Amino acid sequence: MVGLFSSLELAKKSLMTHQFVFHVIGHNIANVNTPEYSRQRVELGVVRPFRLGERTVGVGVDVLGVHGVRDKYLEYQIQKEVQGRGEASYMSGSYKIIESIFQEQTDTGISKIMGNFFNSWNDLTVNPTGLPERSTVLNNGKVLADKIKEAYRRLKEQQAVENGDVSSMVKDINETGKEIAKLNMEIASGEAGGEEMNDLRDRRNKLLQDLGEKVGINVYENEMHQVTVEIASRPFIVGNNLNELSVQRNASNSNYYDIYINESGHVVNITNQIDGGAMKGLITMRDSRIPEYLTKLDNLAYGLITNVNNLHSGGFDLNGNTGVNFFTPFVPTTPGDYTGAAALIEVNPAIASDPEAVAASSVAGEIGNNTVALQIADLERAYNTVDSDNDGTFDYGTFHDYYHQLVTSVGAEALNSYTRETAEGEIITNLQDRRSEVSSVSLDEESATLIQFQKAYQVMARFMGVVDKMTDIMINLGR
Amino acid sequence: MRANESIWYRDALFYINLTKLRYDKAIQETTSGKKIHKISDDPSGAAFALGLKDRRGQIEQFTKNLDTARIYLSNAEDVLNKVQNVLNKVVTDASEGATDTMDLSQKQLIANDIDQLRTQIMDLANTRVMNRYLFSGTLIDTQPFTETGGVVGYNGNTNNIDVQIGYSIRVTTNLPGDQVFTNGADDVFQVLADIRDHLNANDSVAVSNDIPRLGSILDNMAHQRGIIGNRMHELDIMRDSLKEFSNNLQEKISEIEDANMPEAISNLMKEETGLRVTLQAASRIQRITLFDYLG
Repeated sequence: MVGLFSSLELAKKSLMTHQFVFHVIGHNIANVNTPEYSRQRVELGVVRPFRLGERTVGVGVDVLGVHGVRDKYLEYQIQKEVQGRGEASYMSGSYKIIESIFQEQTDTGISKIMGNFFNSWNDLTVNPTGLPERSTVLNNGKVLADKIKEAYRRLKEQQAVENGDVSSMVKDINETGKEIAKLNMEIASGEAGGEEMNDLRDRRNKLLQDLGEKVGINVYENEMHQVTVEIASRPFIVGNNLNELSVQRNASNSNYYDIYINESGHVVNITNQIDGGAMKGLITMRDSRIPEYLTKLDNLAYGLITNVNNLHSGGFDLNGNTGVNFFTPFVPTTPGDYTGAAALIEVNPAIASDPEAVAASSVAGEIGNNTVALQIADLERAYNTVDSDNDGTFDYGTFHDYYHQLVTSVGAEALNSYTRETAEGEIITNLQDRRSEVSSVSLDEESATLIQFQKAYQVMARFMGVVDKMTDIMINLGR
Repeated sequence: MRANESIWYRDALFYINLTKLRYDKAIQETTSGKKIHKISDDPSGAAFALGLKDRRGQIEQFTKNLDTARIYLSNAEDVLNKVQNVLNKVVTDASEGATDTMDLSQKQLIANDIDQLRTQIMDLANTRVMNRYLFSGTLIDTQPFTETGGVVGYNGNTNNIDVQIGYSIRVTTNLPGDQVFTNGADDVFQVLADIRDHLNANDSVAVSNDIPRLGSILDNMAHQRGIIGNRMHELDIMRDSLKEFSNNLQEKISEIEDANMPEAISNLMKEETGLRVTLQAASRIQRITLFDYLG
């Protein structure tokens, strides 16, 4: 029956609907600075009309739903890009430290110190019996050995620090995973009623980005709006189930952590299948870049030790003695494997404090003979002094060239990681801008909507007042 | 297309950060005067400069070697010069003594003189420079010439002491004494002793026969002095070319590493303006919204 009371009912419904809209506008404005927030829009619709005899009568407005305004494709792209950024920024952080180890712009770089070492042999050729010259040879040998050891130790330290990051990162990944799994459940049960769980979805999106920043993931959304997350192509989150990551020490990789994922009751090693995020950057640094630099230092150290020793042990010292090594020799257990040579290089303790024991002469008793000193000084410019491909034969030289090549590759790869970090940052900023265009709250827009609904609310309130008066009149009709 | 606050803030922050990084770099470049502070600033340039610096270090060492070599050689030349003067005097004295106009006592005086000169030459042949006997080969702490029973023997060896003065250039810093003071089977000490003895024996014919022997010894000595002269000449040429090479290297290094100051300063000013503008723009992002105009 159409009448005053149904109009009253209509007005009430309309006012309530508008209040609902005000609430959502308020929610939007409140979240203007929440990065992951997607603005929400209230979908209004006419209430199903009812038939009255031959006529259909409308009964006002109602809320059909609240939708988050989002572009799934953009969110997917951001999701992918943060994985690249996570990887690049981890590597760039690591390179900032590694690069400082190979600081050659000052006079204390390995290259300069290597030059000093050979120069002191040259000084000895000029004055083969000079004790000051001999002491300088020993001292510069020690400085060179210390410098190489220091670089090696600092690289090793960085590697160990990064290894420590693995376990804390795995813990974070599991925590984030747990939260996502929980949100999956809440979203599924909430949306089963047909309502969009916008805020929970925004939160989940944020967590997925955090997760992607740490480790490469693939994300799929099912028809119940739950996400399945894969790490290294293996299920990590399915619905509200989490296959936790864990770590185990790998005896064949310096006891560093390998990463395992739980898969139906047993664990699978996925260390080398991780394909993005900080974890990927970490594994690249820890397992391939740093070991590469360590190997090169080892090769350089082995070349120095062995070549200098070969000449020195064939020479004669001031007292006519022969056969002494200048550096403590390094004997590879398998040919071509010089692991640790750079950690162990030192001037042979037997001669370290005995300048007379430096062998400069090629003939016993000829103390003015400087042939061996000349030969050692010449090593600085000699080819085939370093075994660059670890096959047991010296095939690369000079020492300087080999070291410069190491420095250049560190520099180039460092630069590469910095550039990539900046580029990824720019891409993500752009994507986020585009996402903001779609999803972020615009205060102007909200105020416009607010005014619009405020006006309608005012008029509807007046309408209600009119109906009220009419009802009044009707009640007083009988008087 | 919707524009909204969050875009403005994000972009402002991103660009402030980028501009600041460039500004930092410009400050670093102007204050230090260097373009390259770490390898990643210019990996290939840095490595190239590193190679040049290593070579510069070697060149400096060669120059140092060369200067010391020159000390030994010029001392040896000095000794030879003195020996030559002494021998020339002996030739004059002996020529006088070879005539029959001189009586025995005068000849004996000359013989006495020559004997002293012989000792002088022996001292010269045993010259030490910086604790090294100049003329004993590589046995640098062995006195090269000693006399036993009137016969002078050579105790050194015939080996050379070479030092590196260029990438593939070595110079010999010594002359083994036997090469300088002997000539075939003859040696200067023996000839002088013979002249002395023949004068004392008043044997003019023998003395005049001794003089050509001394002549050929002097010839050899002139030849040896020539060798030293050539070496020293080589050193001088080498020093000039090392100097030039080192200057070239320095120039190249500074080309790679040093900042071009006017350019660096104008770059700094440019970056500073950029940073100012960016910051100013960011500070203007205020919430000018419709709300400001609603009652």
